[in-house]
Amino acid sequence: MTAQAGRAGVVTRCLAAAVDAAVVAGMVVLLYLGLVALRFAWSPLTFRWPTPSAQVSGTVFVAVATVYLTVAWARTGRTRGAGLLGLRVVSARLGPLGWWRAAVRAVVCVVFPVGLLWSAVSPTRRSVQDLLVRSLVVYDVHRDGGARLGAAARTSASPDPVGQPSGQPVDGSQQA
Amino acid sequence: MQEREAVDVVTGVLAVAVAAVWAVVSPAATGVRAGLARAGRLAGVLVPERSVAALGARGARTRAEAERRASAMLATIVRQVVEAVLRVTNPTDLVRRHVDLDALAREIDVRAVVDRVDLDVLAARLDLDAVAARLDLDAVVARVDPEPLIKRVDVDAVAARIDLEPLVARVAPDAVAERLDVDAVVARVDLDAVVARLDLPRIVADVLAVIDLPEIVRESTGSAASEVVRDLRTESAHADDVVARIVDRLLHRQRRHPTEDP
Repeated sequence: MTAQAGRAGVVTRCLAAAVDAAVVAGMVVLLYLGLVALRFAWSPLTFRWPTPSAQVSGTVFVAVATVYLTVAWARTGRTRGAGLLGLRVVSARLGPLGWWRAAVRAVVCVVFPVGLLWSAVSPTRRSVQDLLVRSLVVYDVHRDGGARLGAAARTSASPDPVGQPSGQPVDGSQQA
Repeated sequence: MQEREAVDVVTGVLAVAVAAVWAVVSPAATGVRAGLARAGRLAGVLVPERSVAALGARGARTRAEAERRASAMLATIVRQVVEAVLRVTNPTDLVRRHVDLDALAREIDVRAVVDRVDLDVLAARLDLDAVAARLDLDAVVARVDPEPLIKRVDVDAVAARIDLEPLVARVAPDAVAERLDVDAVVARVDLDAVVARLDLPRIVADVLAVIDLPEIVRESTGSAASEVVRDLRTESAHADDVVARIVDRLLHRQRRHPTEDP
């Protein structure tokens, strides 16, 4: 057991972010194909494959990523990538993050993703986004939407209610 | 005819001998009897009583001796006569020719004879070991024709009367298994013939119907995926610790618990 128990480190979080980026890219592709299908259905004779500019594509990617991250963090505290790596984003009291804080954190993450690297330097493993919205990223492999964390925080005086030491963060449950 | 002539001769000899003896003894006996009668009448006057008694005793001894010698002589004569007869005759042949053996046998009450036999005594006196030792079973068995016996045996009836439960209960499976040469048994099995008789497609279909193969595949796939995810999480968490230690070393920072806010 190491001293970094409970809170996720930079490697795990980067892996989760990479998975989330791939998920968002897939969602953008699906959105593009959906729009193409609608366009083809609307006017098949004049149909041509749309060629959006990089600016439009980037804007759509940012928008989709922001919405995706906001919804994921506000509802369960974990994205697909976080679920795969066994992470959860919670408030400082280990409760739900809330919609506004989740939205702000999502915007900052999308606009300034490099801020994630600060978690490697931070002694409390907090990124820039965590510092701004006072959030935490912890190891949590359970699929209870963070209820176990909140209950542990309310009933335990332990500074580490997550109880999930690094190096042994998982118990085989699937990601949310 | 020779036998008959021999019997006649012997009979003649006996007759002559008896006549000779009688001729010698009879007058003397008559004279003695008459003398004794007269002497009896005078005895009461002239002969004293003890003299008569002595003569009577002497006569009794003499008579007894005479009878003994006569009996011995007669027995010798009869024995020799019988031996002579047997030498010149064949009794078995005589019996066979002149005796109705069947009639005699019919008159024998076999049941009464059997009833008088004490089988227990006979059995007690019977030395079975000696009998068995003298018995040549190989010769007996060699003379037995098994075919009629086999045809007369009702195998189904015999099998129906066999109580297999006690037999099976007495069988020690471990001992049988230890003595069983499985390799030899398998070597004698024609596996190709066995496989040729199997309806493999139907067997496979039945097996697949019993086991839920898709469910097994799903479970195994899910288990494998879960194992991969578990390893990924463990390794990434370990990498987090490694990075944290490196950063702390670079910054010459004493490590502290990450849950403690500055």
